[in-house]
Amino acid sequence: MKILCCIKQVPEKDARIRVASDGAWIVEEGISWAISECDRYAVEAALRLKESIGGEVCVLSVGDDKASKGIKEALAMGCDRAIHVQTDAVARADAVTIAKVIARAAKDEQFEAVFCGVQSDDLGYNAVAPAVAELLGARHMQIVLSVEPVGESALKVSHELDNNLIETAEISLPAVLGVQTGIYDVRYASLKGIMSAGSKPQTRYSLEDLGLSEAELAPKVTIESLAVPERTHQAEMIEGDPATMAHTLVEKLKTQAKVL
Amino acid sequence: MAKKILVVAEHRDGALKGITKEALTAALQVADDAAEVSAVILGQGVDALADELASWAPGGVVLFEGSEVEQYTPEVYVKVLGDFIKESGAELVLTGNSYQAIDYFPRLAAVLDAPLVPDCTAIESDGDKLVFVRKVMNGKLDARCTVNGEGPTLVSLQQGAFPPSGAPGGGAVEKKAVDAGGIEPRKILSIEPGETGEVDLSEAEIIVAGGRGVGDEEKFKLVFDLAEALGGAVGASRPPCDSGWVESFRQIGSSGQVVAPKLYIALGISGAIQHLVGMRGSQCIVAVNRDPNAPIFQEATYGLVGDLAEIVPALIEAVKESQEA
Ligand SMILES: Cc1cc2nc3c(=O)[nH]c(=O)nc-3n(C[C@H](O)[C@H](O)[C@H](O)COP(=O)(O)OP(=O)(O)OC[C@H]3O[C@@H](n4cnc5c(N)ncnc54)[C@H](O)[C@@H]3O)c2cc1C
Ligand SMILES: Nc1ncnc2c1ncn2[C@@H]1O[C@H](COP(=O)(O)O)[C@@H](O)[C@H]1O
Repeated sequence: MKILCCIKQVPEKDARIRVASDGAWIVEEGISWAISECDRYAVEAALRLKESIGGEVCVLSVGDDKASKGIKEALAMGCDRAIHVQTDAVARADAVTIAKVIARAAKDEQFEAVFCGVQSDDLGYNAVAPAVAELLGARHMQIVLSVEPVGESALKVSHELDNNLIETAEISLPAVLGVQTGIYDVRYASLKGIMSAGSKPQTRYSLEDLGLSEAELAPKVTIESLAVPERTHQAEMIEGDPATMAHTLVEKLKTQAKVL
Repeated sequence: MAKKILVVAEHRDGALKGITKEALTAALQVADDAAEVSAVILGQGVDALADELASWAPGGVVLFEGSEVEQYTPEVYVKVLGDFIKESGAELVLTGNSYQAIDYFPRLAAVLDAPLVPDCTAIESDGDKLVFVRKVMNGKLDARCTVNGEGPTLVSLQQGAFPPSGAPGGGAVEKKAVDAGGIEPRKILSIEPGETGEVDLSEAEIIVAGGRGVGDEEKFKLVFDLAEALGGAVGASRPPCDSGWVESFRQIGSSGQVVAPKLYIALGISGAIQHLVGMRGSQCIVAVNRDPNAPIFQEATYGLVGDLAEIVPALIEAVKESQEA
């Protein structure tokens, strides 16, 4: 099966995020970047599908140089080749615009299964995967918990619905899946994987190569400003060294909140 | 502000979802004139829900009825809603950001080539423009966004962000037949409740919950120790369950258990919306986090900023001392 896996390089979970001087983006220098959490599970899911029925996994990332590191890591984990759309132009774009770039880069290759994460750790749209599916004319499932091949032309996929319900469906290919965290143990890159990653084929495109017009790339949604959320309600903050804080808290829980 | 506003309703088990009423409330707030707020609902045998909806939507309700929409599928929803939105001339399309919306709404935006603002927490006005607020960077920052170009804007609203007001009354219901245009929806094999596990946390009076900030499986013992000292149960955010530090039935949140104890202690939990919806109803919330800007402090009654590896042992001590006293 021809499998694609979309990954995004994002600030690490514990990175100290600061707003840049333009007020509309973050300071990118001086923080560490990593593959977005769900996307690691997406890579794992893609590799497992390949291992069960054969084929290849191509990893795709849209982003500037930082994305190269993520691509290399995915290749080291076992992906066979990569597509890197090298651009910074859609870093703050809306979900449909990002999906257009991904779909255009993938279109001619006719991937049968496309794995994405359910939600990115930076823009967090929770939306790119279904939008890519629409643009590729593919089926999709979002918040995916398990994937099994059904012959060569369909997948049996479970996903989350509201109220803790789990829906299982059979979907024909091509299909795009937004993978949830925690569904597998994600493998580490082996030493052999790391050694061979550098020699695996990588295709690099610019937005011009993809033939996307300016009109297609014009942002539909603009981030005007970023700010630390305003405090609408603020907790009563308890100060002091750990022992003092602990005593004060226990006292308050007993006498003020009356919950102990 | 906004002229024609359409709310896409959602229902399950014969009732409108709470978030649909929140979306209607948001629509009524941003509308220039309540008469411009209308709603659309898809289903079979949901006349009563359409009537209820009409009391919220002075601009009227369209009910798409047919066996094809008896059960939700994204394929048919996207086709029916895509055609209807184009025809209706709606400028703003609002819905609650449920898991169902997460599944089909982005696809609808792609079909319409429309701006999409997912999981919006507030709508402000800036002159004649609407400003949509949503969280980015894992909830650490609020982004204020504006929309460019013509046509409908699709916005899904975060659960709890627009507390429902009263229904203004006054709309009419129009029925339309579903034209799914020969689309074959995905083949649903089953819909079943997820794993619930051995411990029903909803009964616990005290819950001590650990998050990613606890660090690892070994350090998670601290969470158990504090729970034991307090005679409470142990819960967790998603990452500790994902990583196998604790059993997955301990997960609290939109994909886990919903709890409302007297006392909820959140250790190393940032306060993502999917976690908050599972514990917001707690009577007293204590948050321990080393990041003073962590969103959890907005929900908490008491906040302690610092390293939980130092604070939790001190808390266990203090609890034991107070019990002995
Ligand atoms: C469809 C979907 C469903 C989801 N369902 C759920 C759900 O049901 N429940 C749920 O919880 N999540 C759910 N999530 C995940 C959710 O979005 C968040 O990713 C998750 O809640 C974050 O968990 P956390 O707060 O433990 O981790 P993080 O967000 O990484 O926060 C860790 C916190 O620990 C603090 N910290 C780190 N070290 C220390 C220390 N030494 N001392 C004190 N503080 C420290 C940090 O400052 C940070 O605030 C879902 C996501 C999706 C997309
Ligand atoms: N720039 C990008 N490059 C590659 N994949 C992406 C990019 N942005 C988003 N994705 C994919 O879409 C998923 C969902 O992202 P989002 O809709 O922003 O929450 C991510 O987990 C990735 O799999």
